[in-house]
Amino acid sequence: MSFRARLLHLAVALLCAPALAQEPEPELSLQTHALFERIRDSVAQIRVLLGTSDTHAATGSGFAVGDGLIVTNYHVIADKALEPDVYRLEFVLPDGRRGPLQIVALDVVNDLAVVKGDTGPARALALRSRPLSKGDRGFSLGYPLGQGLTVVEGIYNGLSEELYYERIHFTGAINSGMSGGPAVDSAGRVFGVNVATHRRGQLVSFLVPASYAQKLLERARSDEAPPPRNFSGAVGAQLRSHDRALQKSLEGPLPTQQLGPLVVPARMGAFMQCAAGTERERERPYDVNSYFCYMRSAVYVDPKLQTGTVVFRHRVLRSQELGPLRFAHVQETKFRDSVSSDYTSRRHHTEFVCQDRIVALDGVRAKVAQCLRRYKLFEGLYDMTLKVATLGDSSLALHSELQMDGVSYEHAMRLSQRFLEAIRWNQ
Amino acid sequence: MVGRHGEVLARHAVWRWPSRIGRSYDMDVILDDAFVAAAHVEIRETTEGRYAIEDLRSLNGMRVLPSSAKQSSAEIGPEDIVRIGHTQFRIRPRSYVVGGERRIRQGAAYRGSLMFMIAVVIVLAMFVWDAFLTASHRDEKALTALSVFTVVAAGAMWIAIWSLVSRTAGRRANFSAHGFVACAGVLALQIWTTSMGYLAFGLDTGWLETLSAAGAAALFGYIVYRHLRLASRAKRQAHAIVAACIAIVTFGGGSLLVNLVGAMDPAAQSHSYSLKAPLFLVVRGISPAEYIARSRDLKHAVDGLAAR
Repeated sequence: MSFRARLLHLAVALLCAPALAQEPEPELSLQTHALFERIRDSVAQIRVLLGTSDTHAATGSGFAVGDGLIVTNYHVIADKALEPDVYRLEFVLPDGRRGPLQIVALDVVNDLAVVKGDTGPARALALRSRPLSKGDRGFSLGYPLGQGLTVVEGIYNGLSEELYYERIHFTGAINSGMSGGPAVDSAGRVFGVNVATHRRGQLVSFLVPASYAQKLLERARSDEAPPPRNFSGAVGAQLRSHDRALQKSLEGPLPTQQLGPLVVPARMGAFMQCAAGTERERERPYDVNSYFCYMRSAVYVDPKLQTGTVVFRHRVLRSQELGPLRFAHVQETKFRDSVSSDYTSRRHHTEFVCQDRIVALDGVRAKVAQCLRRYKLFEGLYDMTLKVATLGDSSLALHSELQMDGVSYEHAMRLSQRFLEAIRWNQ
Repeated sequence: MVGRHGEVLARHAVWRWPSRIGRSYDMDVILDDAFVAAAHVEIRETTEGRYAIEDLRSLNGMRVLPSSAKQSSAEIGPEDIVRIGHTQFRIRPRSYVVGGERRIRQGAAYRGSLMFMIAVVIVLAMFVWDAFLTASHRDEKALTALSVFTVVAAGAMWIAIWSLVSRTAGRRANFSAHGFVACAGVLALQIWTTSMGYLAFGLDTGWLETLSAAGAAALFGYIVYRHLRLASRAKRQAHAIVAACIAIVTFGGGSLLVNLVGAMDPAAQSHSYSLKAPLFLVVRGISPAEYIARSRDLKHAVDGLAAR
């Protein structure tokens, strides 16, 4: 479940509204102009091409950091990293120079990649080591929606508090195709890498802090071994280490909350967002209250897979009018609803294998169904769904669902067990 | 004259030997079969109950069953069947002793229209009850009404087809009897699957659901068998074999189709979705730790799938 819009894959209708004639602030305009002139030659368009054709499978942006190295987003070049025989990479600089690129290093969870090509005299951009202050002005550069090199002004708004990995909240119009481009301060030093916009927000954009790009660059420069051709092993290893980090974040007793006579697991950390809602309809003799908690940061793997998240939902079904038999039927119908993953592909996943049993929870018996599937490309990673339907009362039932994507088997089972043990029905 | 299945179609008395059989008016036995010659065979009695039969150079010839080869002459006994053209016959002496007559069986009570009406009312009541249980929203009520209507229409069609089969197979349509068999069958199927569903839920056993499906297939086979018994006079064994084949093909093909459609959804999660009222729950339930320990099997299964 991702609420992140990937710039690369966002289709946006362009509205060509006539520009309003406004009196520009001369000083600022000059400053922007000078800055743009200074760094424009360092910002490349990255193209992912299909086979030997000249057809773009995708485009993004990147910036030169010296020695022929270019920093971009992992999601821009993900296809090439996982299917090196199907895709190839190419850079195009504003002066028209172009050439092939090789992947050198990846940081999947921070959505960064270092690629290498013969960029000639392209000036290396410097990375800013200290973060900006909230309210500082910044400029994001890139090639939005197939347009030429574009500079966008915005405001640095600190680090986003609701994402699992650090991202800078940048208020500026970042668009599809600008992914991987630099965001620079007024001195032209890179403080972030364009990565995403909020799908439902306006101008709410996210940047990867430059410190992660710095770390990845150091790793790329110090690594003696030649980079592999196929990076799926490296991607798998990084997904597993993400899982270990997530498992560590979820350690400790599970927080719980009270829902009527029920005690259920609650928001498991600051990186989770929760929403409550109620489904009441006229002429329907039962109502459903739902509590849904999810992680906004899924790890992008390729266009068919975002993973590394934990999601859960509780639904309380209640009816005074329906008798036990009819209420049971409502339960059966609701049990089929699922918060299952948006991402399923035969390339990545096996089929689900499931079990279901009656389990004695604390104070109530419940039907518990659990389904597991494995990742084909990435060893040791699984998707797991756990569904609980209580059978304690003929007019009140709890349906809980826990879904974990891209986790180790042990992690999935440990959290499943804790989730089951945390549910309590006070008579 | 004997039909394909050995049933007697007509009898002709023969008063003199030799006797000739054919299509022309001067024959001793005249056959209205376009594939029989004007004078086809001549028959002589050799001894009491034995006959020499000779083909009179007909175009299509003569054969003595079960052989399929043409014969110009043959000697036959009272049980041998001769085929000329499309007609089969046998010859028996006057002294041939026939078996005792069969007793007329009282028509089974279920053949009456009263039983049919009662069964229809019970089945309809069952569907209405089911609709009451399952539809708790007005939109669902319309859908349920539609499904009840579909079931009724399908049932009427089923009964009509069996009646037609009965009628064409030679005798009467037996509409009420077919109707009763269909209604009682649906009722039995519903009772069986429902009670097995509750039992599987209450005892928390998966294999009862398999048993339920196998039982439903057997029950369906029995319903088809009852219809066949009403429709044709063939032997019980033949009916049983046909009914078993129909049941196996229907249920086997059905489950195959369900599996194929299920495999089309790569995200399908197949487990039991059955939830009944708590009062039907018999088992105490296993502990969460025990439940999680069982998930090892899931891991082995998906690891196996990934290795494929």
